[in-house]
Amino acid sequence: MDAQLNCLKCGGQLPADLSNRGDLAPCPHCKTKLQLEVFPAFFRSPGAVQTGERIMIEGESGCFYHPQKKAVVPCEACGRFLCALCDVHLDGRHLCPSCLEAGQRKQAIESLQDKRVIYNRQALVLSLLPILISGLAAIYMAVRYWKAPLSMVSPMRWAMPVALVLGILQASLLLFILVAWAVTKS
Amino acid sequence: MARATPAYKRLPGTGYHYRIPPWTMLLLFFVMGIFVLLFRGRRTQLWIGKEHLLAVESDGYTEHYKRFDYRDIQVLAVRKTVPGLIANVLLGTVVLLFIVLSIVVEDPVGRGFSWGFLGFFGLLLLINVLRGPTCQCQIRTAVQTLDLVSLNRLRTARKAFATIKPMIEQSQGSLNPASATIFSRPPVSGETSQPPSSAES
Repeated sequence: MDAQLNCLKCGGQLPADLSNRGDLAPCPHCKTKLQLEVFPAFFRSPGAVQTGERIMIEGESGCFYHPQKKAVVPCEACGRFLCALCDVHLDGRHLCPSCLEAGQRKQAIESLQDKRVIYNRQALVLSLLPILISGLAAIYMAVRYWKAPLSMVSPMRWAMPVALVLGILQASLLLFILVAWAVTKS
Repeated sequence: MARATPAYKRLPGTGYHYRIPPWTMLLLFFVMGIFVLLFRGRRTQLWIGKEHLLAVESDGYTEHYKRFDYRDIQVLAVRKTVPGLIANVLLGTVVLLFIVLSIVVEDPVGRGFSWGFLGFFGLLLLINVLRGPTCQCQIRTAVQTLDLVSLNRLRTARKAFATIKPMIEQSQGSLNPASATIFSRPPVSGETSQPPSSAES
């Protein structure tokens, strides 16, 4: 990539002395006040692409996905031999593309998760709604998703038990009302 | 029992991906009241982890995550913006108007209303002044540039940068000031674009 910085407002190229000043400085083009913190990664050139070495000696282990290429590492999840092209290095582990894809699909690899449904908050909101039937829904949510992954940043571990207790209270109240109504009618 | 240390620590600042422009929300507030918050969109916050910065967008029931590895962050940029100043001017005008009204109006009920509105808008003005100037923040990596909407006040952005910067420098090394001049000119063929960093020395 070309090592250049542009103004956030006018898009004009910024001079080098505007970066890492620790304070706001005006853009030379539009006079907007900017602060830029530039890090060494800005100057890093993209690394060479690993394509995998071809097998030269008969009997050498080949890649599971590219049999003509030399295996360099086994997948730490399934044990398949991988060439440099297929080796995906993630969180200090060597994985093959299939395990990576499966891990992402099953949400088994936390660092690949880009979305989570927060069931414990849903259950808690349902249990707090002043509609008696929502207590049953809260109980269902709490039981069905008791082991579902929590929020990565604010897990609220107490939410699911509280939702379950409140849900049971609401359901009991509903049951009591129904029984009282039936008794009164009979 | 020892408590497990949390994986992420929250950075100051909360922002929203508004579905409509914020000034429209202000106008709609007088029509829809509190229900205008339905147009506010996802809440965004920044969290720092051991190896990456995590941008979390949440609608309350679903969270969306974006990770920025400290090794990959190239630039953090802040631009001072004017909406904070505009809001101050508008709120200041309204406050002045109600000060004049509360002096001029002699009817006790009218004066009461004037004082009430004066208090409300005065409080908004005070909060806006105390929060400081507004800004736009961006984070840049080799493959993307993202607006950090949670850092929408200059003071918050500076606090957040002061927390993030040491983590990035710990991961990448700090930039040699002399090497910063490289990006002002096009790279010469055959020249290495890797600057010397203090971590390497």
